Amino acid sequence: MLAKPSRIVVTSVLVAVAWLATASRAISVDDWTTSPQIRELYEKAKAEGEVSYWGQVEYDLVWAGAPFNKRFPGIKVNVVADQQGPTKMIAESRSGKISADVTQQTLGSVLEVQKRGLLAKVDWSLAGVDQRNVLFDGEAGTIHNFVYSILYAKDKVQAADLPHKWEDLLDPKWKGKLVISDFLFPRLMGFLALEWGPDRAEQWGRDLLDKQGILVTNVPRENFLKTGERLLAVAEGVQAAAQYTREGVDTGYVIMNLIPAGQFLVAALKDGQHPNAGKLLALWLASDEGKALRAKLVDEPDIRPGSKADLTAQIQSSGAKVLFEDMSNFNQRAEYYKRFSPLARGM
Amino acid sequence: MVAIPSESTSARGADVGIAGGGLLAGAVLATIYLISAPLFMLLASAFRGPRDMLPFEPGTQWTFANLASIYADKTLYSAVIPNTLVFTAGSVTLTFTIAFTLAWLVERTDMPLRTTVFTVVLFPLLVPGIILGIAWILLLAPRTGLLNLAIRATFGLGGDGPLNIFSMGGLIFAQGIALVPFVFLLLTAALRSMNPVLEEASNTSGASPAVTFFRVTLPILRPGILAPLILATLVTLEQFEMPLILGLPARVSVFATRIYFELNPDTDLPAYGRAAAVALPFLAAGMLLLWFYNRMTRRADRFVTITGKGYRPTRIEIGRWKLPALAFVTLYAAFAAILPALVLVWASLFGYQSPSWAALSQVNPTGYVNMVYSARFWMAVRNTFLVAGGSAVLVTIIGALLSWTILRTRWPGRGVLDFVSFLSIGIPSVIAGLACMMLYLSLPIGLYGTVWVLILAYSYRLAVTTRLSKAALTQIHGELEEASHVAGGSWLTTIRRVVLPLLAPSLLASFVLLFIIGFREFTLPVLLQSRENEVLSVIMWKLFIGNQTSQAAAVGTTIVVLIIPVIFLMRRLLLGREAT
Amino acid sequence: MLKVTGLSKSYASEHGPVEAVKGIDFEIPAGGFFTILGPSGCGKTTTLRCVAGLERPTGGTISIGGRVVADAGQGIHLPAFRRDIGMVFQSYAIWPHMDVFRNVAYPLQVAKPRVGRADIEAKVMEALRLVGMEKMARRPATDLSGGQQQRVAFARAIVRQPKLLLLDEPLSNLDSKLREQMRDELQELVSRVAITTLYVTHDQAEALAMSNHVAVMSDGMIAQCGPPPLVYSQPATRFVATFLGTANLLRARIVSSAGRTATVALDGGTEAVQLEVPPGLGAGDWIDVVFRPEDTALSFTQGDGNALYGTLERISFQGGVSECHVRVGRAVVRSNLHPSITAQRGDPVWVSLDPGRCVVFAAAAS
Repeated sequence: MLAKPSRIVVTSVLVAVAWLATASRAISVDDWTTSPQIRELYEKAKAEGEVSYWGQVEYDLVWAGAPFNKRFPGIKVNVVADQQGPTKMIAESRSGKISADVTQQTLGSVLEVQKRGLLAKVDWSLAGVDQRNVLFDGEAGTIHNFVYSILYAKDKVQAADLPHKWEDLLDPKWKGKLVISDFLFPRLMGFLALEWGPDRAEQWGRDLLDKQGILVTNVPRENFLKTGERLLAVAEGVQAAAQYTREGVDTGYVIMNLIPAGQFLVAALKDGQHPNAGKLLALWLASDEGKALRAKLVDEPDIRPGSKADLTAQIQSSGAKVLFEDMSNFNQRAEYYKRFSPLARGM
Repeated sequence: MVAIPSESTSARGADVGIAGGGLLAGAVLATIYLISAPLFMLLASAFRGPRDMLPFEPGTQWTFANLASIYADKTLYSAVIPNTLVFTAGSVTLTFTIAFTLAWLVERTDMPLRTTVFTVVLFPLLVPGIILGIAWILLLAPRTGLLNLAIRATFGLGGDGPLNIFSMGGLIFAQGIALVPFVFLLLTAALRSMNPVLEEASNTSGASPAVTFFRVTLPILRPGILAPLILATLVTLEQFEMPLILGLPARVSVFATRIYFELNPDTDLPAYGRAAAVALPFLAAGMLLLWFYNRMTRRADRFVTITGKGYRPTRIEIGRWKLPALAFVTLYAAFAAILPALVLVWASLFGYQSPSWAALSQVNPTGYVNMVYSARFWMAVRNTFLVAGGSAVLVTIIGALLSWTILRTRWPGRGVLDFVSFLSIGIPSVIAGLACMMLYLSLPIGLYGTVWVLILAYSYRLAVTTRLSKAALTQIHGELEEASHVAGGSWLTTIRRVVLPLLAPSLLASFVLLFIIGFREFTLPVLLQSRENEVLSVIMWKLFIGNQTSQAAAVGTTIVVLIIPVIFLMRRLLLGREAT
Repeated sequence: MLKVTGLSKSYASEHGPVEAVKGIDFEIPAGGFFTILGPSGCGKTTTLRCVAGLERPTGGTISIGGRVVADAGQGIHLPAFRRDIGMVFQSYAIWPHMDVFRNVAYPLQVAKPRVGRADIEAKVMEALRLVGMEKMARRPATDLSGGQQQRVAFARAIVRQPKLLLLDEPLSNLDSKLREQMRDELQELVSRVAITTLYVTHDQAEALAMSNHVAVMSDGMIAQCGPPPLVYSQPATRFVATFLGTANLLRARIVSSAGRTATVALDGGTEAVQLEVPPGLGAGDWIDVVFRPEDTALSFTQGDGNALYGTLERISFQGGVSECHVRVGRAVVRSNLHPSITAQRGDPVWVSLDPGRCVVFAAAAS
């Protein structure tokens, strides 16, 4: 017969267990790279020697090689920026050999490869990734968001004059002063339609075109801001502000009251040539460290809940409502894009 | 020398021997392969669906859905087609007016500095199309375009403008100027081949130069003018760089931009099937124009103007029109090449600073420094030369052999071959790129992603060489070849020692032209890119869309600088002929 | 009608300036038929083109019908289309995109002041009738043979009855039978239209047959100008002598001279011959004696004096005559035999001359 444990002992044991539990989680969050599974994965990855990292724009990819190698030396990161990435992967999959190991895409593009079964399942928790940030049953993890905003050249527009609501753009004082990308215009409208309903969103778009004479273009908008041809670049991502500034146009961004946020994901390819290196890189990119470095080096922030980025805090303090892109609204928005696209493209 | 050809230039059953026959057959097969793959892909993809899958993925099937959705779209008829017609007509007219005037000035008048002018007119070939578009925005944007600023300052005007590049007019202007070098080359060749004696006869019959021009020169030149006209129309139809950069802000969309949008939709994969469906009219237009051209030139075939020996072409004296003529050329060169190139160089060294003397001190050559130290850049240089040169050689050789087959043998089906090779110009490069991508992904030979696939992909433009060498071959008497046979030369020997040397000038010209086109080519290598086969224009494009504009400009400037010597070489080749 | 004085023309070429015409003078009276005869490259075509206005002379003057159309010194140059001329080109230059009628009608259609349609029709048909092409008026130009093109070209050149008709070797592209026939026809036509004609050719048979004046041109200059019989029988230079017709040239030495007559020993001759020699030559001087085959006689027996002894080297049957080459000493003398006479190579023959028909030149430094 066991003696009834004393309260002190029970409390101590409970405290000890609690401490152990938190301590081990602390270990996996702060230094997940030292866990045995990761070490094993790393050995296999080092044997493969290199990894092929695909995305749309080179700028979003090249930053990763050096910091990744600091963590995991001996694996060469080959960057491929190809706007036809998904098509290539799908076409290559028919021969069973894909030249990409890791791909980072928007939700829509990842969906295309995912639904054809090209992605590998990854245990994202190994990198301390919150389960909320894992999609498709482990086949993709979130990395950063495309935060829709309005950009302006600091020497041409006073901060006090800036609009904070999308409706403010219809103010006559902005007539003839707006520019927008042909690609992002319908996407923005699609997001707004989720909040306002499609008819109001469409009317808003029409008014921008007909009443405000917004200039729709596909060349980089910083030129328009720099010369003053137009004053506000609508629907740009906040990371563009830093890029434009780097190119010599001191640019600022506005935190709108309603913030559409496109979602970028990272995934590993099942039939890639370096599967282990691929998984390792994907894990690192989706980890807090990867995301923090991405925000710091190329200004691409993750503003999902749980993110520690400055921008997240800024948004929270401004009380803005964020419209995240995810699977629940994806199809609806796709419908909206199809509806708004001809309007934006002048057809 | 008679102005009307005898039968010696027509086809005869030449005895080519086994080696020769093999060579010709090889050329024919190569032609069929190089052109039919893109054509087939185009036709097939247009009928494959559903739209959210690649045309040949498992699960796709034959369908009319692509065509139905594209051609049932009302805006196609209310906006796109009218815009395309206006755009094409306006742009080709402008191209032709400028190119013909320049060609006439250079070939038939005593305008000073003719050789320099010839070179200068070719300058726009140096500058990649994207650059031209951006440069014009900088120059002619309504509010802050540099030229607008200058005009407003000079005339004390207020407000915006007066010139606005974001309009149909601006688009026509930009596209019209861009195509001039190409048409200029073809027109000068035609003018040079015209027998001046026919004009002298008109002269001595009492007709003033103007009357001679309209009643004798133009009618006789008609076939020589029609070909470039048709080619220019087809090429303009497939252009999408200008319409995209300038037309989009102007809310003007044409057929080519429609293709671009199908390939860059908001969601899903690029809709290749729909893009192909939009491209079908290009083929139809090409066939129609070609049929038309054949009809017109069948009668004019008997107008062959074989240049007689001994007379130099009489040049019209333009006296006091010398200055205006030179001014015209300078204006053209400035807009078409010099200003854009300056913009490019400026952007590469100074980023976004507005041009001013003060800004000069802030030159920032890091773009170039980074470039020169990048191994990737040097590999791209090597690739670009390899691909441009390799495809130019391939097309020139195949094209020449093809022309010989069409003109000098009696093989069946050569009319079709001629037709098809001409048609190759009508295939938009986007579709050709897609075709090659699909083809080489499917073929088990490990070509995909290599430099060789680019060479093959570039090589579908056979029409350039066949046009040029057919024209040259027609002017070479069949008797020259017969003399070689009689003297004991085999067919191969004859080709090597008699025909090739005589054809050499036009073959070289075609090689150089193709090299330049290949050097600037952008759509194909973007579609077919991999790490190994990157070329300079792809790197430039990637930098550009990554918002690294000054870097992109540095690469763009490099492209321009590398092509300059090639232009001079071309000038020497084309004008050196005149001396003989 | 046409007066050319001091005409010269030079071109720039990659070897430096080339003087094609070096200052020539000639005149054609109204209605005259004047031929410039010379080998290719002598400058005859350039001269014609200067008269036509297709080239600008670098020196000299040209006037047509009393009107100065070109004066290099004064900078006057009337362009071709303002000169009242008609020209037939060597390649005929028939416009392929018009039919025969429109080709011929062209000069009238572009004329100022305008000519009425009925007038044009009448004149064109008349010109076509003249050349025998009236039935082909609606034929496309591309369907014509060489001879037909030539006739159309001629009709076109005369349809507006210009002051001056220029012909640039119009027969050189025809085969020889046709050429002979066309030569006669052309001559007939020209005399019927009675237009002042300047004709350029390298064929001396044409020049001799058709013209009333011939200028033999060589190397940019006129060597001799005159009526054909004169130029033929009294060539002023060795060049003219050998260019027109066939000429024999024998070296000889003056044995003795008295005034203009001299006794000369022909190279290979057995006896001395009496010839007229140019002034300034005396005993011991070398001369070239030029004589034509038709002024010789061949005999198989030694006749009286002035005969050269030689061997028959070649006999060439030409249908109407047998041309003979006789080796006399170091030279070859050409003579003719009636085609019926048979002879063989190697036969000894005597060639006798007619001293009155010999032309003597001072020998060039040998």
